[in-house]
Amino acid sequence: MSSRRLAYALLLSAALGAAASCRPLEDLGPAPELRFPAEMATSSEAISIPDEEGRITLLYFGFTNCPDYCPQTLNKIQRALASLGIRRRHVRVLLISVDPERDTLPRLRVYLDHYQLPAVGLRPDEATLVEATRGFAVDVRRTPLPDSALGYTVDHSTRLFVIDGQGRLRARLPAETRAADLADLLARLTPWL
Amino acid sequence: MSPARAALRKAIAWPARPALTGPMSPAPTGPRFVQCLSLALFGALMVLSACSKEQAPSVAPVGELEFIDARAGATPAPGLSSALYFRVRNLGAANERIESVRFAEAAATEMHSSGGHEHMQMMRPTDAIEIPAHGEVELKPGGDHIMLIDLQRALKDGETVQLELKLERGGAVMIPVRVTSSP
Repeated sequence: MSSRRLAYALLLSAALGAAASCRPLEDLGPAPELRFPAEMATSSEAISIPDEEGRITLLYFGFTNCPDYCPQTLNKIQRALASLGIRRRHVRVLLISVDPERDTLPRLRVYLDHYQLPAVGLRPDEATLVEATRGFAVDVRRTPLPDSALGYTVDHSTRLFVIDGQGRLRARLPAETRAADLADLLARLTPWL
Repeated sequence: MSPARAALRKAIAWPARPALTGPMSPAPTGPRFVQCLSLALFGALMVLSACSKEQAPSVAPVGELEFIDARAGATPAPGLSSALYFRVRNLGAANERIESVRFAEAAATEMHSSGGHEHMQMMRPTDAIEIPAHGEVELKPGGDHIMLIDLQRALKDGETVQLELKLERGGAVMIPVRVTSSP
C-alpha cells in the first residue's frame, strides 16, 4: 500500500468514525416528573426528577437482594463514569428500590457506597413506587418464593433510563449495553468540561 | 482467492517487492520498510500486552468434573447477598448432578435459574444442576447462578472462598471460588 493510499484509508476511517458518533441522539420526550421527599432518600435531601441542578440522571429500578443484574449495572455505570473523567460531575445516579420492605435506607446506603458513585438510593412508599413505575412504564412484580430463604423476590425490568439535564428521556438502555457505549452516550450529553 | 485474502497477501508480500524490480536491488531498508516494520512491531506488542493482561481462568478438577473460573461478587458489608458463577465440564461418561450447595458464611445458599427479557427479569430457585456426560454447563451473569443469601461478612475483592457442593455421584466436594468486584 502506498503512503498516499494509507493516508486515504486513515481519512476514510476517521470520517466513518465521525459520522457514527454524529448520529443524532434519540429524544424520547419529557421524562415523568417525580419527587421523593428527604425521608425516602439516602441523601437525606429531597430528590427530584429531573435534577434541579441540571445534571444527567441515570435511573435504575432495583433492589439490594438482586444478586445479578443490579450489581452488573452499577459496575457498568462505575466503569462508564470513570472514563468520563472530570465530566462525571454532570451525572448523578438514582436507584429506586422495588423492594422497599427490605431495603431500608441504611441498607441501600451501604449497598451503594460500595460502588463509589454519585448515587442516591430511594426507598419509596407504595404510592410513590406505583407512580414511578407507571411513569417509566416499568414492570415490577412481587413473587412469593416458598422454596427459598428469600421468601419472595421482585421480578423487575432491567432497563437503565438516561434523563438529560433538561428533563428529557434520552435512552432506555437494555442490560446488555456495554460500559463503553454508556460512556459514549454520556460524553455526548455532557458539556466539554 | 478472495479479494480480502489477495489484499492481505499483497500487504504481507509488500516489503519483499523491491527485490522483484531487479536482481541487484538493495535490501529493503528504505523509510517505507522501516514504517512497515515498526507497524508490525507495534501490532505484535499490542497482541502481547493483550495476552498478558488476560488472566487464564482457574480450573478446579473434582473427580471427573472441571470447575472453570468459579467466582463470586464482592459485597460491601455483612447482611447482603452475592451471586456465584462457574463453568463446569463433565469429562466422564456418566451424567452428574449438583444436588445442593452450601456456603458456610451465608444464611442460605441456593441454586437459581434466571431468565426473562429486558422488560422483566425473573429468578427462581431450582432443585439441581444437571451436568450431562461429556457436557458443559455455564452459570453466568444474567443467567443461572448460585445465590449466597444474607452473608455473615463482606466478601472482599481478591480473596478466595470455598463452596461446598453435594454431587449425586461424586459426593460432597469443595471448590475454591475467587471473589471479584466484577464477576
